[in-house]
Amino acid sequence: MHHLSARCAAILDVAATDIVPELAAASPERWDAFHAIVDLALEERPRGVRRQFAVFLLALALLPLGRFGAPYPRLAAERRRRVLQWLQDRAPGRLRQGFWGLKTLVFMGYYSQGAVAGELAYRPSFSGNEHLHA
Amino acid sequence: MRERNYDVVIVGSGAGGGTVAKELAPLCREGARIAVLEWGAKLTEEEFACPPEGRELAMARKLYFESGGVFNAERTMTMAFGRAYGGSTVVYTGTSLIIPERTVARWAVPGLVSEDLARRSRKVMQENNVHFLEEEALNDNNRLFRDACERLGYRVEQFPINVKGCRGAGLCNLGCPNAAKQGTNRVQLPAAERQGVEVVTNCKVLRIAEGEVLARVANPPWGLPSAWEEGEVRVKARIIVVAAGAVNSPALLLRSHLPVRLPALGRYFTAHPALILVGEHERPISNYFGHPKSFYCDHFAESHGFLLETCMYFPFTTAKNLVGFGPEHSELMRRMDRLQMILVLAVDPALPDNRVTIDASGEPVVHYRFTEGVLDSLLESMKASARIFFAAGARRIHAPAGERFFIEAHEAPRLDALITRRRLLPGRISIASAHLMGGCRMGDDPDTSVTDAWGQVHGLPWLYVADGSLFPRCSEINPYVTIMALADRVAERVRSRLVEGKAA
Repeated sequence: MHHLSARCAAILDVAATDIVPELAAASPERWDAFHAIVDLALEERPRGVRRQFAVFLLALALLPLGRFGAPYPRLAAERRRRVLQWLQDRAPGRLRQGFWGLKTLVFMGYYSQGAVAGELAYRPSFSGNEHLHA
Repeated sequence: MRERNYDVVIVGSGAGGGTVAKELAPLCREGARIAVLEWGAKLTEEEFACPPEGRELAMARKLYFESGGVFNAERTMTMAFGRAYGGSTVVYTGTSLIIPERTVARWAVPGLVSEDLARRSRKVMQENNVHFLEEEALNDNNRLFRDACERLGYRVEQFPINVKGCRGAGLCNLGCPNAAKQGTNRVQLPAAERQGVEVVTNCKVLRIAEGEVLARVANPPWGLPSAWEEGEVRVKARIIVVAAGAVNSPALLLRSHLPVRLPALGRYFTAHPALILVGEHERPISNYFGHPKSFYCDHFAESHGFLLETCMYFPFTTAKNLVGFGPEHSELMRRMDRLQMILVLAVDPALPDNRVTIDASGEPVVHYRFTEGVLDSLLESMKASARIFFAAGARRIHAPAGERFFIEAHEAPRLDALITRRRLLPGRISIASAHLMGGCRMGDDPDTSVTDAWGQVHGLPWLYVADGSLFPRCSEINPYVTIMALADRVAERVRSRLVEGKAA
C-alpha cells in the first residue's frame, strides 16, 4: 500500500479480518482489491487525515498492552474483538471516531467490490421493474 | 491570464444554478452572454451505464465531493453533495414536495410568502414531469412501509417523483443509468444551452469580486473535457449568481473577502441529520428493484422533530450505517435481499454556531454539533421505525442505539429498554446528511442574514445567491423543489436588473 507503512498495513489487515470475517478466507485477488480501494480512499483524503489514520492504527496496536500484555495483532481473536468493542462503545471521542473511520474504510474496501455483491444477495438490474413481480 | 466576458455568470449547475440558467436563457436571443461555471464533470451516457456491480464506489467518486463522505469538523457526521453537470440533482431520488405553509411561516422572511413559492414550485414540477408512480411500480420495501404506517395509524403519504421512463434500476443516488430522472442535467441545462447559455464544466471558481470571477479549469480523468482550456481564467461579469450549494457558496463568499460586513455569512447551517435503519424479513422482498423512495411519514414531524422515508442503499453504504462488526454484521449483510430500509431525517434548528468557515487555503470547513433535541429526535425515530418494521412483519431489526446488534420481533414491547440514549453517541453511530441548507440565509437584517428575499447579497447589487444556502432554517422536507422555486425568484430579479441596466 502506498499510503500506509508496512507496519500500519499489517495492523489494518488484522483489524479488517475482525471487522469483516470473510476477509480471513478471502482470495489474494480479493485482498488486492481491498488494498487498492483503501489506498485510493486514503489518497483522496487530505494528508492530515492520512496521518491521523496511521496514528490511530499504531494506537490500536498498543492499546491492549496494559490490559492484555500484548499488542493487538498478537492477541487471540476473542481479545481482539473485546478491544474493538471497547473502541466502539466506550472509548473517548477521538478514539471512537478513529474506530468509526477504520470500520468505514474496511467496509468500503470489502463491500464496494463488485465481485462481492452476489454473495450479499444483491443483484440489481438496470431494468429492475421487470423483476418486481417475478 | 486568459479573459472572457459575460453579462451573467452563474456558479454551479444544480437545482439552483440550473434553474437560473434556464430562466435567463431567453435573454441570449437579445444578445445577453450567460455562462454557467460548474466544478464537476459532464459524464457521458456510457459512464452513466457503469455496471451495477462495483458501481457504488466508481460513481460516488465521479459524482460527489469526496465520494459523498465529507466530514464535519467534529467528525460526527458525513455530508453527501454532488459535483457534476447538474450538481446534486444528478444524485438525488427526485422526490418532489412543495414546502409547507407552516415552514415558510417559521422562516419569517419579509417579502417571501408561501403562495409565491407554491406557484413557482408547481411550475418547476411540471417542467420536471413530476407524478406519482402507479401501484404496480412500487416494490415491497415501499409497500411494506406504507401498509405498516397505516396499520399503526401513522400519517403516510406517497412521494411525487420527477422521472420519465423510469425502469426501476433503483440506483438514483449513483446517477440514473437510464436517463430517466429529470434533474437539471436532463431538463434545465440542455434547455438553457439550446438558447445560447454556455455551460463550462470542470471549472472551479476561486474568488469573486465586483465585475469579475477568477476560476480554474482542470479536467478530471472522467467525463467530457471542459469547453475551456485548462488553467486559470478571469471572467468579467456584470452580475454574478452563486449557486454552489450550502457548503461551497458560503465558502466562496468568505474567501472572496467581500467589501461589506456580513456577520451571518456561513452561519445557521442546517443538515437534516439522517440515519439509515434496517429491518430483516424472513424471506426475500423486492427492495433493490424499482424506484427506492415512494413514501414518507411526517406523523412525528411536529411532535418529535423527525421524518421517515423509504429508501434502499447499496452494500457499502448499508454496511457503514450498521453499528457493529464481525459475524453478526456479516450475517445481516449477506441478506441484502431481505432488508427493509427507512431513512430518518431530523428537523434540526438553525443555530449561529453551526456554520461554514474556511481553512487557510480557503476550503470549506463545516462546524456542526448535534443539539440534545436532535439526539432525542434520532432516538425516538429509531423506536418509531422499529415499530414500523415489526408491523411490516420483520423478524428482527438493527437499531444503531440498540443495546444489542439485533432486536427480535418478540422483543418489540421492550423497545424503550432496548434502544437507549446511552448508546446514541456521535462518532459511534453513522449520521449522514444530504440536505445541506443555510449559510447565506435570507432576511432583511444584514446582522442576521446574508441576502434579501430575492437572493441579492445585502449591499451588493451585482451579487446573488440561488441555492439551499438561502434557507433561513431547514426546509423540513426534501429541499430541491424549494431551491428551484427560490432560484426562479432570483432569476426574475436578475432579469429585471439586466433590463433596467440596459434601459439606463
